[in-house]
Amino acid sequence: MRGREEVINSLKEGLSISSADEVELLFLGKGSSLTRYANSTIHQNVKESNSEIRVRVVIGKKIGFSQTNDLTKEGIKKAVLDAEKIAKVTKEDPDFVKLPEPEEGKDIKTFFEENLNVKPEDMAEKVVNVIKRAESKNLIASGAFSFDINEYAVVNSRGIEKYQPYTSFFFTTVIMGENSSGYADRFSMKFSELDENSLADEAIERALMAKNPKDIEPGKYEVILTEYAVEDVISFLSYLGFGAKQFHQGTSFLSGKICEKIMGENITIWDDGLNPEGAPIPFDFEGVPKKKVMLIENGVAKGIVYDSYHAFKYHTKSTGHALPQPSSFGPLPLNIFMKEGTSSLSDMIKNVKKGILISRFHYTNPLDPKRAIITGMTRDGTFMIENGKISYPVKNMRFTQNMIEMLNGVVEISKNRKKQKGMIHVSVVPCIRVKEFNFTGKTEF
Amino acid sequence: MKDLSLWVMEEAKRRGVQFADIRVIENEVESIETENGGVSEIGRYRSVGFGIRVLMNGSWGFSSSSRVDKYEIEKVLSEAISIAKASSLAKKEYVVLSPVEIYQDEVPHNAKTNPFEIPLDKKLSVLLEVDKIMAGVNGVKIRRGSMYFMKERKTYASTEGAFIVQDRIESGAGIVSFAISSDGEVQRRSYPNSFGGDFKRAGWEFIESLKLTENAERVAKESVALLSAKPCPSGVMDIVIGGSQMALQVHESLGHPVELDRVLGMEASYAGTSFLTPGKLGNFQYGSKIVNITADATIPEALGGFAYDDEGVKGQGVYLVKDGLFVGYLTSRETAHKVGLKPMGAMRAESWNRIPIIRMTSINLEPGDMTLEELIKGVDRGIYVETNKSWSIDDKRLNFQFGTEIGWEIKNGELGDMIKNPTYTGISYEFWRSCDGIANKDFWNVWGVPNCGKGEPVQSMHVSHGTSPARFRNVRVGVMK
Repeated sequence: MRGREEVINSLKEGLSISSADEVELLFLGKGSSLTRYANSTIHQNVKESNSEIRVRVVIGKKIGFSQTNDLTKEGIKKAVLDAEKIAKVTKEDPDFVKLPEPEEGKDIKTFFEENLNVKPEDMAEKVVNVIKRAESKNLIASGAFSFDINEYAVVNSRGIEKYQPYTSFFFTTVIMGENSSGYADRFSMKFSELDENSLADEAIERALMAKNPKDIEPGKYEVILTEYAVEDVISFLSYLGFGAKQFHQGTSFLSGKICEKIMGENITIWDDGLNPEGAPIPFDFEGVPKKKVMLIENGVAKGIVYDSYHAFKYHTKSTGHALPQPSSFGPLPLNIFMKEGTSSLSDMIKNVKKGILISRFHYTNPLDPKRAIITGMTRDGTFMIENGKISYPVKNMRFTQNMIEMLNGVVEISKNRKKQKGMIHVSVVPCIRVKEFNFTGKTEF
Repeated sequence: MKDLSLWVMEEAKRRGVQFADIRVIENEVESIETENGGVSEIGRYRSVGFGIRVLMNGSWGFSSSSRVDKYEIEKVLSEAISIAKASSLAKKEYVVLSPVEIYQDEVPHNAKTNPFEIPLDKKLSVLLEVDKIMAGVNGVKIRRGSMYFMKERKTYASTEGAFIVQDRIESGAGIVSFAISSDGEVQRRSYPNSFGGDFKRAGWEFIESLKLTENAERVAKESVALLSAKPCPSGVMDIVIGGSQMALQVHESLGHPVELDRVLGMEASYAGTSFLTPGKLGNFQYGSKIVNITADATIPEALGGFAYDDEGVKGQGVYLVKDGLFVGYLTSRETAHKVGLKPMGAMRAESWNRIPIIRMTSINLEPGDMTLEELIKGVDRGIYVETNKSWSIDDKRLNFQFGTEIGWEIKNGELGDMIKNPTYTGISYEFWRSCDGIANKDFWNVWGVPNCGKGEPVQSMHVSHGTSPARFRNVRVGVMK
C-alpha cells in the first residue's frame, strides 16, 4: 500500500509533465490475496501487488489514452507522452466538452486498518473451519476467500484531487454431496465481521436438502428466487439497460421509456454509491462524487446513470458513475439496491401451491439484450414446492425468460435483503416470488 | 532479467522449496475502437511484473508484483513461501509434479509485419473507411470497428533448470453494424466474428487478410435486413452451423469439459465440474464416428498456440476425441499423472499476476470431406446459422443453448429466407453424436477467441478453434419465446 501522499504526488507529477490542454490521471492500486479451496483442500493460494496509472489527455477535442504500471518517474513520463502522441494522431471528438470540474463530496470510511493484520494463515484458518463443518456432514467443500486492499485516486488539470483507500473481503463456498450442492457467500469490509460458520451452515443445509434430485419437465412454473438469483437478474439489467450509452443509442430496454410503467408497482430499483448498507465509495473513476439515482420507482422507468462524457453529450449532469476511461460500456451503476417487501422466504414458500425454489443461476447470458431476454441454468439447489412446502429437490433446468416481464409478475418480496458482490458491482437485494417463469430445458443432474 | 530469474530460483532452492518457478512478463497493448465515425478509444497500455510459484511441503503458494527489482523479488519469494505454508493447513494430499523434459530456449515472435511499426493513423484510417461504407447503408444506426495488437516478452525459469524466453505478437480486428427499427427492435451483424472479430498470433498481414473494407457493406445490409426477417422456426429439425459458431460450440461443449482441473473438482465452486469424468476416458462415445477433435498448440498463427506453456512444457498436439471416442484431456504436471496421462502443456496464466491453470490451447474440429453446399443439400427441413450472439451451458457442460446473429431456412436442400434471432439447444454428447457432416479443409479456419474466462481471480485467456461448418440432425431450434 502506497498511501495518499505518495499516490497523489505521483499523479501530480504526471500532470505537470503534460503540455496537453487537459489531462487526467487515474491511479488503481491493488494488493489482493485469494485463497481457493476445492475437494476440501486449499489448492490455489495467491497474492498480487500491482498499481497502475491510466492517463487521458485532451488536445483540442482529440483524446488519447495510455496506461502503465511502471510508476517510476520515467514510467509515468512515458505514459503521459504516449497519450499525447496518440491524441495528436486521432480524430476530433465533437461531443467531448471538457473533463469534470471539482465538486464537494461526502467523506466515507472504506478502509479499516485492523484488516492489515490479516495473514495468509488467518484466511486459511477460516477456510479450514468451513471444510471441517462440511466434512462433519460427509460433504466436500470448495470455494474462494479473497481479501482486497485497493487504493483509488484521480487528479485532473481542472483541479480534481481525490484519494480513497478500500478494504474488502469476499468469501464463497459450494458444498457438495454425491449428487447435490449448496452455495453461500458473504461480502464484508471487515475481517472480524465474517462468520465462516454461518456461511458453511447455509450451504450445507442447501446441499443436504438437494440430495437425490428428481427429473421434472420444463414449462411455466411459479418460482421463488433467492437473493443470489435476484442478484444475477439485477446484474444483467444493470449492464444491459441502466447506463447512458445504451439508453441513448437505443439498445437499452429503457430506451424511450422514461416515465413509463414497465415493471410491477412493487419494484423499485436505485443506485446509491454513498449508502453504507452497500459497498460505498464516495466518487467515481473520474473523481465525480456519487449521486443517488432512482432507476425504477414503483415500476416506472425513472432514470439512468451518467459519466461526464455522456452527461455533456446529452446536456445533463454526471451522476458519478464513470468507469475507468476509456470505457466501451459507458457509465454503469455499481451500487444497486432493490426495495424490500414485507414477506420472508418461509412465508413465500407457504404461499406457493405448486412452484419451484431457485437457489442460484449459472451462466446467464442475454439472448435479446433489448428485450432483456436472458437464458441460463439453475444450480446448487433447485426444489419443487407443493402445497406450501418444499416437497423434493429437482434436477437443474434451463430458463429462457424476459426479465422485464418477470419483474411485472412479482407477487411477493422479502423484508430481508442481502449484500452481494457481482462481477464489478455490489447489490443489496431481497428474495422474490414470481407468478410465472419459463423453463425451456433440463439437464441430467 | 535472466540473472535475477536464475538468482531467485537458486534462492528458492536454498530455502528448501520442493519446486519453484518465476515468470517475468513485459506486455504492451494497442487498442483502437471507432464508433459512428468517431474514435471511442485509442490507447497504448503497458504492463510489467513477475509472479513466483512455490511448491513447499506439498502445497502451493503464489505471489506477484509489478516492481521488478532484486529486493521485491526476494520479498515476493518469501510471501509465496509463507502462503504455501498457510495452504498446507488444509492439505489432503501432497502435490506431486510429473517429470518433464527441461528446456533452455529462446522463441521469437512469428509476425511477418510488426503491427507496432504501422503508424496509428494508418490503422485508424482503415477503421474509419469501413465505418464510412457502413454509414452509407440506409437503416444502420450504430457502426463499430476495432483493432487490437499485443506484444509480449515472457521469461520463464524454474528450480529444475528451465530457462525459456518467448516473444509473442497478436493482432485482431472486427466490425459490427446495428440496425434499430422504429419500434425499438435491435439487430446486429458482425464480421469476421462477433465480440471483437478474429484474432491471430500474427502481425499486420493478418489485418490486411481480413478484408474488412470488402465486407463492410454486406454486414451493414444484413443487419438492416434482419429487422424484417422471419423469426426462427421452433421445433426439432436439422441444423447446419457456420464455422465461427462451430468454434464456440467446440469451446463450450468439449474444450471446457476436458480441462482436467475442472474434471477433478478444482473449479467446482466457480465454473463447475465436467460430465467427462475419468472413468469415461477411452470408452465414451462423445460424438459420431466422423468427429475428430484435437488440442494443438503447434498450429502456426493460432491464438491458442505457443512454443512452451507456463510450466515450461513444450506445446504439442494430442487427440481429445478420435473417431467420436473421448480419448484425451487438457492436463498439467500436477494433474496428468492422476489419470495416467503425461502432461501435454496446457498450463497458462493470463499475465504475470495470475497463477497458471489448465487452459484450452487451440482446440480443433478436424475438417471433413463435404462442401457447405453439400451439407445444406442433405437437409429437407432445417436452418443454417452463423455468428455467435449468446452462449450458456450448465455447470457440468451438458445442457447448452446458443443464439446466433443470423440464419436462413433450409427447404429441400436449398437455402431459403433469412431468419432472425436463431437459437438452438441440446445435450453436448447427444448433439455431437448427431453430427453427420463436416465441411472440408477449404472451409476450415482457426478462429481466435480472446476472452475465455476461468479461475478465481478470473483469468481471461486467448485460445483458438480450428473449425469448418458442420451438420447436426434432429436438434431443437427456436427456443426463444
